[in-house]
Amino acid sequence: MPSETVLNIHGIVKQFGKIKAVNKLQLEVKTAQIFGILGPNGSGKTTTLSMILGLIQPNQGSFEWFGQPLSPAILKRIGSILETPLFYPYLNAIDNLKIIADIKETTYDEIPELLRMTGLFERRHDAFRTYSLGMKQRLAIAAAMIGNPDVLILDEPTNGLDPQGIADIRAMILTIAKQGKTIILASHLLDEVQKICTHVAVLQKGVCLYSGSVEAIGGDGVLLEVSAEDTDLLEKEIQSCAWTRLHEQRNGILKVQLEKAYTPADLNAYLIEKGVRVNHLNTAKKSLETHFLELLKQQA
Amino acid sequence: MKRLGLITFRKLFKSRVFWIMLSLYVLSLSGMLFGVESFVNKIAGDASRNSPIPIPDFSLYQFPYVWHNLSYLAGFLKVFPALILIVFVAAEYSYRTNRLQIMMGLSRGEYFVTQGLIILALVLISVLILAMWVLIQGFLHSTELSLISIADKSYFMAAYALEIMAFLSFALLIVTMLRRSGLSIVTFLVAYYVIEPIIRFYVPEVVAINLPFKRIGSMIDVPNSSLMQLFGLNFKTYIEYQDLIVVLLYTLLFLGISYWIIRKRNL
Repeated sequence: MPSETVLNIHGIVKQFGKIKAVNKLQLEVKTAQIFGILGPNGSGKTTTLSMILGLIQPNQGSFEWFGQPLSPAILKRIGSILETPLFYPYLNAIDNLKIIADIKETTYDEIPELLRMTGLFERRHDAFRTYSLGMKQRLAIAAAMIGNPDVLILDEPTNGLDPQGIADIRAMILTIAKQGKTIILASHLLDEVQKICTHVAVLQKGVCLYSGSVEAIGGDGVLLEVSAEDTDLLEKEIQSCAWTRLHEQRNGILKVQLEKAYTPADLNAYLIEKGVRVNHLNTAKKSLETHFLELLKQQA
Repeated sequence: MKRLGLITFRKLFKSRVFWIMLSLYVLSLSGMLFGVESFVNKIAGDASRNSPIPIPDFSLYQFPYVWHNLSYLAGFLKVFPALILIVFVAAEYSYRTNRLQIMMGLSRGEYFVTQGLIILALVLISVLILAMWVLIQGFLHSTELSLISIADKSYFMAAYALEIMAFLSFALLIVTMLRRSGLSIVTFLVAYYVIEPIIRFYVPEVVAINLPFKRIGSMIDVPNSSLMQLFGLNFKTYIEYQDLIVVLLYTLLFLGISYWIIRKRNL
């Protein structure tokens, strides 16, 4: 698939009083990316999304969707969820979705299918206000999918949900992503972005600290935890190896950084060859998290 | 337009609150238009007993005067549809469904039109109820039933429609500015019942008669019944073009400002 540019943001600024909620933000999102916008609460994620959806006007800068300025016609190609699900509380799922289908100038035909996909079909005749938070959020996803949009914008889609609800929503996002749709996902959860996204922009206080692929954010390849019966020998061999770097050693567990081209299997083979018997080899959970915290620290 | 109509229809007519408020309005309006004659005659009868000169019995429901009489009376209840409008437009802001609709691809102009359609629906309902009672009462009580006597003065309906339209446009402006239901209702009622009457008291006559509520209310003047003539009062028994034009301008102004706010506002 050609990597056509879906969204291009050129230095947008939004100021609320003295606070710059978004400061000269520059972003590019391409077709079929799952683009995460990561940042703590109040970092300007929702403000950014509100601007690119035409809900609020930027003070400076501009942006284009599919190379064009924003218009209702373009908004019809975008499905979005902002913060809390917004619907008419007294209407049932079907009527709420029909209103959106009318707005998007599409038929009602896909509504039953979407209700099944989001597991709301049984409750389709009940008023929206009787739904649990998880159901509301799923209806919001169904609404976003109406009219088969090219782009999906999700702002904190798992906020406030229980673990099952979170798992459901994430599975749904990945299913949708497989259809080749571009997804822009704002979240303050690193874990979420790392699990779902292909690309990420890290925001803090309205400033973009990093933008690129999620893999690249790890920088120098995989970080491993290794231990062996003979810790001294292990340490010696790792230090003498050309493509590993020892981070730290704690309770006999070594944190080892591999260079880009190498995999944990390579390290295992190397250690066997050197006569080190590994009894623990684990990919350490870090990359995005440590990098994220490092990025935030650098700024502060 | 059909699409915007469908959207508005779904929001409005599937709401129980709407039907309850509408029923209250229709019942009050019908009750008033149905019972006003016996009420007036009772008062006239009581007064006549103590009066040196006899007050003649008269009917409010005779064609063609019934058009004027009933549309004048119906005007008293125009606060009802204004409240319904405020409640529903404010609900869009509190549910934040205005945001939803814009981000799903409704243009701000189209969003404004859906609000205008609520106004039109309420105007249409009011006019239909009024027309129904005018025709029922007119046919039951008129001594002369020629086409001319029936149709003459039916243009009061147009003035009534414009009266409601203008009044609701002002309500739309208030709720578009303030967004909150309670605040908008209080502000609207205070503007109508308190602020404008006070201003009218202090400003010169020429300004006073041109204030919006005054102008809207005076399009259809007090009916010039034999009772009024008895007291030597003389009200106008027709609609002045000048009134229509001024009220129409006010309507366009209120709608125009509302549209401008909707276009400019950050959601």
